[in-house]
Amino acid sequence: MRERSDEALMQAYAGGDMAAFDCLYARHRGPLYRYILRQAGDDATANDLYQGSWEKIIRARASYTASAPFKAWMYRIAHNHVVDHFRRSRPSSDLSPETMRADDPGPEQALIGEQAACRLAAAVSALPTEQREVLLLKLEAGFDLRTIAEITGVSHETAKSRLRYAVGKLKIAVGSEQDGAES
Amino acid sequence: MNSDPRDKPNKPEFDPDLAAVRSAWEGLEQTEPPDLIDQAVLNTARRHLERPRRPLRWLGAFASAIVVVLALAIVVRQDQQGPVPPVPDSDGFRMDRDTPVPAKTKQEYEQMMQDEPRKARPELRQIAPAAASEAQPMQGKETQLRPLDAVEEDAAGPDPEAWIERMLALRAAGRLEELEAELADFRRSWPDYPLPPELLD
Repeated sequence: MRERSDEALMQAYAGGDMAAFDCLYARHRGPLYRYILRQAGDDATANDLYQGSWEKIIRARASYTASAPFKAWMYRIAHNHVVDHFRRSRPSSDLSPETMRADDPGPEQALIGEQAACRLAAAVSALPTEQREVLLLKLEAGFDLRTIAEITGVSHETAKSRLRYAVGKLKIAVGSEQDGAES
Repeated sequence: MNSDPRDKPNKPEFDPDLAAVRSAWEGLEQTEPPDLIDQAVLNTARRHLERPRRPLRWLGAFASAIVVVLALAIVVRQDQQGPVPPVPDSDGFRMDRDTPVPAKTKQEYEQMMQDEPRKARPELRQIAPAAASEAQPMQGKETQLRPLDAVEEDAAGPDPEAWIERMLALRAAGRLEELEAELADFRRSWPDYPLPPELLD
């Protein structure tokens, strides 16, 4: 049987079909959770932001139109929710990539050196917020640069630049991991 | 609950750096949301579907506004039309809403005026203004209509003092026959009114 599209499922849910939402949720729960978790830094905040994002998606079901790609629409809602959260919790901070560098080591960073994967995760946590978000939208959600630019509200060139910087920094971590494995 | 495998991007990367990072990224633990969070989200979705739609709040306000506008329109229209004019009956007597309809007809009042002029006066006062307003357009013409005071004067006789003055003038002029007739009339109209001694002779 042909798989229903995200857009059709969302419209079916808006029309009262709970089974459609079950299917939609199963399809996107993992990537969306990891996208939020790697930005939040801790499980409790990630859980709150994740649940809040879905609640906003549920509330906005009536305003959703099938002409817009559901996945980009869903990540835009999640992006805005996360940004609002950090603006409230850190109102004095500047959201520019240069000043939003995550200096505080996350829980995963404590495991650097124990596992290569954790080293990579720690490198991701150390990225500036905007670079990390662009990278997560690329690696977790699989968006192209045009959609990433739309979701984050920046130009295509800005999104491309952020991704290039993020990849460059992670390549060093990946390279050192590979070097460590070879030696 | 498992993730959809479509979520893992498997397109070939043309950027070798990004391909290397992606390869390492796929080795990371695929963290999933806790079951409690899953249940909470699904319950929220279900609850929103079961919740009845809110009644249209604007509809009540809109209906109230319509009622107010209609009421104002009616009031303004009534003001433009002015008060309801009195409806005269076929005899020209005004039928006031607050005044009880007189039981007697115009002919009956005329008969009462002839028989007992003073007795008819209070009722005449009620209908006289309407009759006078009806008669105003006729004032320029030579008509037999007279003011109510003149009618009352005729019914009660002239002012006694003026009458006495006139009788004294007749006496001074030596018109004694006319004086006798006027004096008799005066006695009929004002039987108890005191006369000057000159007229008592």
